[in-house]
Amino acid sequence: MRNDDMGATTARPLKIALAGNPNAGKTTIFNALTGAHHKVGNYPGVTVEKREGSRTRNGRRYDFIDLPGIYSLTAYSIDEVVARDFLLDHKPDVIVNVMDSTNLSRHLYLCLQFQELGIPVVGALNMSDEAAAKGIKIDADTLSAVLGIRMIKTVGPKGDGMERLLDAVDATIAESAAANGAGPAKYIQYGIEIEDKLRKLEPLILADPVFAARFPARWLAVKLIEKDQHAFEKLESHPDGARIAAEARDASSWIDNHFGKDAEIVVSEQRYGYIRGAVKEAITIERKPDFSLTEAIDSIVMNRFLALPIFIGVLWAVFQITFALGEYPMGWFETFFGWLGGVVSTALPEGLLRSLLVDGIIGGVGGVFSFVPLIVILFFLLSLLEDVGYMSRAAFATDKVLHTFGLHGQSVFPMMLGFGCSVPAIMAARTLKSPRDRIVTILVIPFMSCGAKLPVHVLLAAAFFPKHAGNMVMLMYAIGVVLALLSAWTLKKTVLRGDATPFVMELPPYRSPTVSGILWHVWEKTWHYIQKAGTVILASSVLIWAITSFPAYEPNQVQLDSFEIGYLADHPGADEEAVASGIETVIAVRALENSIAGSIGKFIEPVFRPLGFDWKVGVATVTGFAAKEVVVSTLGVLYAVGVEETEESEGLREALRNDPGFSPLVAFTLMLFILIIPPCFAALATIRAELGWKWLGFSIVFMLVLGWVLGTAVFQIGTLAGLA
Amino acid sequence: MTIAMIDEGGEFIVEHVCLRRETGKRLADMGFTQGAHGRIVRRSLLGGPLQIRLGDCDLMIRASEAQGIDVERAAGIRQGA
Repeated sequence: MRNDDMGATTARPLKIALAGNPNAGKTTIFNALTGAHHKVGNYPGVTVEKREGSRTRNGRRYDFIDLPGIYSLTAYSIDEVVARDFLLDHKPDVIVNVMDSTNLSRHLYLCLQFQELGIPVVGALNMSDEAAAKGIKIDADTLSAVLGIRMIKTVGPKGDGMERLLDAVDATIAESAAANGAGPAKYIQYGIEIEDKLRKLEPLILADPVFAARFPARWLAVKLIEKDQHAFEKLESHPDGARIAAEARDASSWIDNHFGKDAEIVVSEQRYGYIRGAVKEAITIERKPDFSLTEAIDSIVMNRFLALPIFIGVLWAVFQITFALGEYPMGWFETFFGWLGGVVSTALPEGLLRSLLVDGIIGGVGGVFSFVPLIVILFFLLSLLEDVGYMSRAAFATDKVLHTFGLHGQSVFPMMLGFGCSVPAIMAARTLKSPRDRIVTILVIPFMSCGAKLPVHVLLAAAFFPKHAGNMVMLMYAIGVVLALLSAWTLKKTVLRGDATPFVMELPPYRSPTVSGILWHVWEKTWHYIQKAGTVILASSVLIWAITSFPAYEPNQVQLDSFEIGYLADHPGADEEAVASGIETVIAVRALENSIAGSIGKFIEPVFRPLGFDWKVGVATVTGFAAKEVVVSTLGVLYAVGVEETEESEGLREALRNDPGFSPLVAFTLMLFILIIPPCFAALATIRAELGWKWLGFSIVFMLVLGWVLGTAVFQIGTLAGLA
Repeated sequence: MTIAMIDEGGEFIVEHVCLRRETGKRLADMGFTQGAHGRIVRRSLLGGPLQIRLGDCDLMIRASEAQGIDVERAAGIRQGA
C-alpha cells in the first residue's frame, strides 16, 4: 500500500542512476530496463559517454542515467570523477547498483560507498544464473538485511528480475520518503579508531547547512581521511574549511601511525573486512566446479610462449576475413555511387551545379562510403573479440611490449581499430583511464595505416614494385606500427613524461556475446564514421572540389587548336573521336594546373623538392586531406588518364611509370610520406574533439615534420646510394 | 617476500601493500588487502604482467606492482572467496 501513499509525488519522473563496476553487465540491465528508448551523449566537458533512457510503469516514469563503470569512488580517473560528481550534484532518487554475483565481494565494495553517499541504493545481483551454475548460493534476503540495501537477483541478457528490481526501487524510495531524508539506517562501520575520527569530523562539516546539503558529511569525512585531493578541494567552499582540512590531516596521520600503514589503505581494509562478514552470513559455496572452460582456453591463449603468436594470428585472421568479405559489398557501393553519379549527370545540364554534385559530393562522399562495409566487418570482428573477453587477454599478451614503448596493454584495441578508420579508433581510446596513456595512444593512432591509405599504397606498389607489390604494402603497415611505437616512446620521454600508471586490470571470464550487444557496438562505431562522412568529409569534399574547379578554365580557340596539334603530333593518324577525348584530357590537366589547388601545389613545390616530389604530388597530397584515397583520383586527373581512375587501373600505373620525375625511390618516399602526414580532416576533427586544439596543433606539426624529415632522409640517402 | 617472488601456481596471503598513493589505493580497492588470499595463475615472458586470482576474480598486474605487495606464502590452502 505504501506505493499508493506516494500518489502525490509520482507525477515527477524518478531519476535513477545505473552504476557499478565494469564487466558487471550494466549495459544489459540498462537495455532490459529501457528497451530501445535511449540516447547517447557526453557528460559536460569530458569525453565520457552518457546514456539515458526511460521507461513507464504503472503510470510512473523512470529516467535512467547510465554512469561509467568504476571500481571505487576515488578520484583517480575521469570516469570516477564523472560518476562521483554526477551523484553529488544531481542527487538521483535511487542508485541501482549492478553487481556480478559470481564475484560479489569486490562489487559490494563499491555498493557500500554508494550507500555512504546517503542516496538510497538498490542492488541488482546480476549474472545470478552464472553464480548458480558455479555453485555460489546467495541468500538475497539475508544480504539485504545485513547491509540494509534491497538486493534483487537479475539476469541482464534475459531481462529476468526487472519488474522486481523496479518494485524494489519503488519500495526504497517510499521508505526514504518516510524517513524524511534521514539517510540509510545502516552504514559500513570502519572500526573504533576510524569511527572515532569520523565522529569528530562530521559535526564540523555539518556546521554549515548549505555545504552539508551538497556533500554528505559522513562520506566527505571518510574521503578526507582517505586523503582524497578532490574532497579537500570541495572543502574550500566551507566557511570553516581550513580548520576541517587541518583536523582531517591530523586524523589521517594519526591513523597512519597507529596502524603502521596509510590511512587510505586502512579504510579499504576495513571495508573488505565488513564485506567479509556480510558475505559469510549470506553466501555459501556449495561446490566448486572441477572444470572451467575459461581456464582451459586460457591455458592455450594465455600460454607464455603462445600468447603473442596467437595474438598476431588473430590479428592476421581479422584482416584476411575483413578484406575477403568486404570486397563484394564494397564493389556494390562503388557501383551504386557510380550509377547515382550517372543518373545525376544525365538529369542535370552541364555546369557548376552538376560538377559540384557529381564530382564533389557524390564522388567524395561516395568514395568514403564505399569503405563502410569494410569498416562494418572489421568492427564486427573486433567487437566480437571484445565481447567474448579476448581483448583483455590481448592486453595481457601485448602489455610488456607496449609498456616498453610507453603505451599500455589497453592501447591495443584502439590501435587495431586504427587499421580500419582513425575516427572510431581515436574515440575508442577513451577506455584508457590514464590521461597521459590516452593522449599518447591517440597521437600514434594515425600511424596505423587506415583503410583509405590502402588504395594509395596499392597503386604505387603495383606501379613501381610489380613483383613485390603485396610485400611493399605489408611493409607500409609494419613501418606504421614501428613508427607508432617509436613515437610513443619519444613522447613519453619528452612532452608526456611522468610516472607509469598502474596496470591493474580485471580479466573477466569468457562470455558468449549477445547478438544485440555486438550489433550495438558495431552500430555505435560505424555511426561515428558515417557521421564524420556526412559532415566533415562532405564539407571537405566540397572544399576540395572548389579548389580544384576554380578559377574556371576556359581555353580559347587558339589554345584548343594547339592542343589538337599537340595531340596529333604525339598520336599520328588518331581518329576524330580519339582526338576529341585527347583534347578533353588536356583541358582537364590544364584546368587542374590553373586551379587554386594547382597553385597551392606549385607554391609548395619547393618544400616537396627534397623529397623528390613535383607539384602534381603536392596537389594530390593537398586533396588527400579530404580523404586519403582521393590522392589516387587526383593523380588520375593530373596524369591525364581521366578522373575515373582507381588503384587497380593499368592506365594510371603506366602513366606514373612513364613520368621521368617518378621512380621506385620517389614512389616509396611518397608511400611513406602519405603514411606519416596528418590524416584526413575527419580524423583531425576527432582529435580536436577528444583532446582539444592544443593537442591537435601538436599532432599536425609532429606528423608533418616527421613525414617531411623521414621522406627527405629516405629520398636523399636513396639518391646518394644510386637508387633514383 | 613479495608477490613477484612467488612461483607460478603458488598461493599467498597478502600482508601489506607498500605502494603509495594511486597505485597502492587502487590495489587495495581491487582487493589486495591484509589477509586476502590469492594464487599466481600465470606469469608472462620477460617480466611481463602477472595473472593473479584474488578471491573469485582474476586480475592482471605488472611486475613492478607485484614487487610492492608483501605477502606470506600460503601453500596448500585451496579455497576461493
